[in-house]
Amino acid sequence: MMRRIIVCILLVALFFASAFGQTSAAHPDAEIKADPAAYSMLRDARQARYYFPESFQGFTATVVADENGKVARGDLDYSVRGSVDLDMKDDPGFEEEAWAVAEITAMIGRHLSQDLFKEYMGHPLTFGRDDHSPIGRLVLVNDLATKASLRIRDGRITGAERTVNGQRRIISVLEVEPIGEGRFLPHAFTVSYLDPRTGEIKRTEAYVTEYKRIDDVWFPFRHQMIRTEKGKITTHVIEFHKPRLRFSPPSQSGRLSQEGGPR
Amino acid sequence: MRRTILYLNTILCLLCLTLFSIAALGQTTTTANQLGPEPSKADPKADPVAWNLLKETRETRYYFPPQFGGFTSDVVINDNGKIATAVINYDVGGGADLQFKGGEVDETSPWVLEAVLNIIRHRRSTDFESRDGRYPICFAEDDKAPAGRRVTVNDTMKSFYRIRDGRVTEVDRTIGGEHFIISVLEEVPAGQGRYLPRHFTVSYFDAKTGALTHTDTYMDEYQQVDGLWFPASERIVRAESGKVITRIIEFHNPQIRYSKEVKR
Repeated sequence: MMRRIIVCILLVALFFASAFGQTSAAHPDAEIKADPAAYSMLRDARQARYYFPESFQGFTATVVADENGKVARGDLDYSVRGSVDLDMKDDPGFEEEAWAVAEITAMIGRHLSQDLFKEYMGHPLTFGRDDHSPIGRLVLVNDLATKASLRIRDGRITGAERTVNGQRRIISVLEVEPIGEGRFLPHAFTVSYLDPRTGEIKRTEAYVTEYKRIDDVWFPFRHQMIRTEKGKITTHVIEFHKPRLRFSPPSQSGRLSQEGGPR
Repeated sequence: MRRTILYLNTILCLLCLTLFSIAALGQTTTTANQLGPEPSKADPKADPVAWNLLKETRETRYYFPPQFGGFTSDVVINDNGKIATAVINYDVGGGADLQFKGGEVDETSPWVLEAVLNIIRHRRSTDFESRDGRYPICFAEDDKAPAGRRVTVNDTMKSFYRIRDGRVTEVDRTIGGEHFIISVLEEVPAGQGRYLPRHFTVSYFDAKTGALTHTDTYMDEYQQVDGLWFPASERIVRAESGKVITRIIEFHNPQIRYSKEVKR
């Protein structure tokens, strides 16, 4: 009799544990009521951010990569299809090609993709509590996997936060570059990487990007990144010289007028 | 019995040797793990070229004129969403007084006054010879960093500067248990070949462990008041203890005072 009672208690406990597990794992989308105003705010902010035109296919350029004093020069062929061909012919012993490729990919990627934006728009966007933050209103993406959120102020994205590959990344935009027609490019921003479990700061990166108008496209020709990590500071600089941009025929939509421009 | 004593002695010797090795290794590890600048040489040889370079570079930084005597200004504070207004009264040689007029920022919060004083202290003209210039300044090893040549001050704060194109790009100091590095990302011209910092970051490390404790990234804006460049606003993005917060200080209607005598 006693054994039966114990078995019953165990079964009940297992049932509750399983039910609780299912509840925890369930995606909260079904319970969250999306706020149309949050979509509208994000859409407007997205439109104010300048991206390369859809017809942009890639570019070639001479690259100067400087990692804390180790300078290397070479040729780059970048394709939006995902290939980054970096040939440091002048520095065959260049050992730090990986960071240069990663940095170039990130630097150009910031001006390309609408994928992340599209991904966010697929979630039930809501506003966070209005905390009167100086960086604006909090828009919650309500994605359980990335816990992503954005900050929007005066129609511009001022901050973004998401957890990817076990790292919490917080981007804070310090200054934007007006390029005319009410559109902007990020000029100075920081990225903080935190341990999502402990909150410990793993590293921070501060960026300043400069742009030039080439073939009617605002192109990032130089960027400087200061990384703080493991008790030291490293400075990375990437410069593109003589960039030649490629576009898909026939139209080059999304071009901008000659108004405005970087300082 | 004698054999046992001999055996015990050997063990004791081995133990002592092990303890000594551990202690020595511990000391070596501590030295290797110490962060930031290597300790100054006991008697470093001052390099006049380095001394002059730092002096000339410091002169390209914009400072208030030596007759600057103080100011009174309205300030608007936004501490990550908590807003307050206050009046600040600052006198060179007499300190600062911050009177909160209203809002949500805790009046006892020390960061506001600290931040304001920090802004003003960095704009006040200083006498190089009586500050960094009194130390035996020399060059550190040329590591060809994009941030420029490293100059060692050889002071008690283990200060280092990096200089590139005649401008300071990095300041590195250790005060007590805190090691911090200021990295200048961008400056704005202030006329007559002088510059003001616009974007810079300050990274704070535990001087013992090297752990990054927090980082502050700044964006400073300036306004011309009575012929001098006065701060208009400062935006600070702080990453610390699992969160990132933004603080803004704005200066409105600043009234500048000048004194006949130059105060330092």
